[in-house]
Amino acid sequence: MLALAVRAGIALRLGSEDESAFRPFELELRRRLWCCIALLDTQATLDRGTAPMLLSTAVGPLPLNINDCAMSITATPRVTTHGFTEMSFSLLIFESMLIQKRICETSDWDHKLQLISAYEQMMQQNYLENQPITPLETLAGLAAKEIMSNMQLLMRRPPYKQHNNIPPSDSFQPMEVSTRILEGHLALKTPELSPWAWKEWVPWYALAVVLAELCRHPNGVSSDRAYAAAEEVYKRSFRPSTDSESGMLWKPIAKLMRRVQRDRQRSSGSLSTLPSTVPSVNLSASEQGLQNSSSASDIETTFGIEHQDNSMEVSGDGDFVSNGYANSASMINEYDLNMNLYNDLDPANGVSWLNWDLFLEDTEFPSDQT
Amino acid sequence: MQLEFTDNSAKVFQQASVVQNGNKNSHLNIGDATRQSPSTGQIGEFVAPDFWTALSREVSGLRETFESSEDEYDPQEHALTNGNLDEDSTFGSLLFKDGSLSGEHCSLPVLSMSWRKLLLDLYRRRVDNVFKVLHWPSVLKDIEATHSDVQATSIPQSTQALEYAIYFMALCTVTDEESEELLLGSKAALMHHCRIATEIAIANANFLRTPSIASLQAFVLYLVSICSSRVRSIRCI
Repeated sequence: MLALAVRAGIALRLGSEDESAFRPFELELRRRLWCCIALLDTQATLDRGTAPMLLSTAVGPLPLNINDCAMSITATPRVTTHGFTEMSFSLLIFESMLIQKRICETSDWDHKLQLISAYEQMMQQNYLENQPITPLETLAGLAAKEIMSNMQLLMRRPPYKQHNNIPPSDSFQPMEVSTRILEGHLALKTPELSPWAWKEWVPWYALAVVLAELCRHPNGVSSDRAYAAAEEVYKRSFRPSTDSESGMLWKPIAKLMRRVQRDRQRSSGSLSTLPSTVPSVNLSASEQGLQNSSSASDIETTFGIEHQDNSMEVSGDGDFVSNGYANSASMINEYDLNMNLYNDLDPANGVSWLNWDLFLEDTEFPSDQT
Repeated sequence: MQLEFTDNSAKVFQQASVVQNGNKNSHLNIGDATRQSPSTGQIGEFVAPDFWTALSREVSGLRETFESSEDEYDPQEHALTNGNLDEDSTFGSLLFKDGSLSGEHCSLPVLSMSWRKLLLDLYRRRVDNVFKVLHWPSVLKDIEATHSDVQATSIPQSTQALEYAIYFMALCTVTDEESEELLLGSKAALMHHCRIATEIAIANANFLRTPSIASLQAFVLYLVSICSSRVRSIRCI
């Protein structure tokens, strides 16, 4: 149905209009509408790993940063306003959308890095330098941080299987960045931001990245922090459901969580149920039941995941594969049918990428068609 | 009734017809489009009578719900009235079919003033400042004009489509608990019927054949409303 919106927009010549043929008021309405359509297009691209319908060059000029009260049919400014206006939050999203499109349109890794660097400087200047005054400005600041982190993460952990374009290794720390995203999500639940609670969504993507990374590093200071955030988000968000979409999403995440919990138990020397170190939250009765019991086992029961306590494969130097995920570089060769995919990755990143790749297989995401 | 947000989906908009039953109460029988995009325009292959029979029953159920609940509610506080579902109602063309049936448009449920104000306020406070697709003062003015001019012989269909899309989007921002507290009733039921009303209104506006800025705004809001409930969306932006 998004295609209908795009086609209708093209028919109305949104984004490509002759500016002299429209009054400034009409131009602003048209630009707002077209950017919203382009935003939906970018969102669909991220969700499905498919090519966008609109290139960045088709978006056209962004709307101005002006309040509605400054606009009328007879008099609308032609220049943007400095400061936070009614358009500012949407402009933040539109600018992010545009950069995301440009990043996806280039295969040059250095160019991608340049684009995102310039974008982060702009976001810092426009949305993060000043202390927020209103709740909406606070929301904008939080959104800016989360979007920047997500963009970096998307470059290194694309949410769909890559056949030929594995991101190169660099100093980027997926676990640290995705942990920040989860912590930011947990911080969103403040009363002043309640009008926009409907915009909250389960950060399953960042959660999956954290858990995949924890498969390689289950313990340690940074891992403990990552696990705490992941466990809290997981407890708040996990909803056993017969819905196929939800099931396809949560089953592999539950599998990852189980692996991480078992690895942490093993590393701590205890095979008993891992006590929760996360402060209790207000959970429903069913959620309390899930929290108080062995969460990994209940998750398995819900999704019919086979118990694999006795099915650990040990090979080589004591490395093991549990629940299909790897913790050692020596396992890469076993899974990498195309040796070339991992050649450019150092062993540590190779394991991380392998685990992420395995997760994507579990979710049955569409392959990268770009 | 979860819509698949795909580029090739063409399920929603359809021909609406009003059929009278023996009691002179109107039922809404609506034609249907399949889940596949119409590549050839052979619209006859898209009719799925079973689906729309069920939809017709649901719309009738809505009427029965409000008729039977008049003892419990102040009629003035009723969100929806069904006064327009009468034998003189008109219906719209099937979006993917050439030629209209008889230029008739499907009637829409009418919300009470208090509910309209509530939903419009919710949209303004919760949606408009984070998803700025509208110029709110002018939209509000247009919507209020359609309700204040009782002598008007015709209401702009695109404005009506935008109005219902706004209500639908506003409902998406409400939790189940809020819905009860605000005396809106069951959110799920209200969302379901509001969604149908939005779809009908967009169809009435002839969006596919002659899109306008307002009808496209309505359609975009409709898409956002549908997408807001998707579980699997990454939503990084």
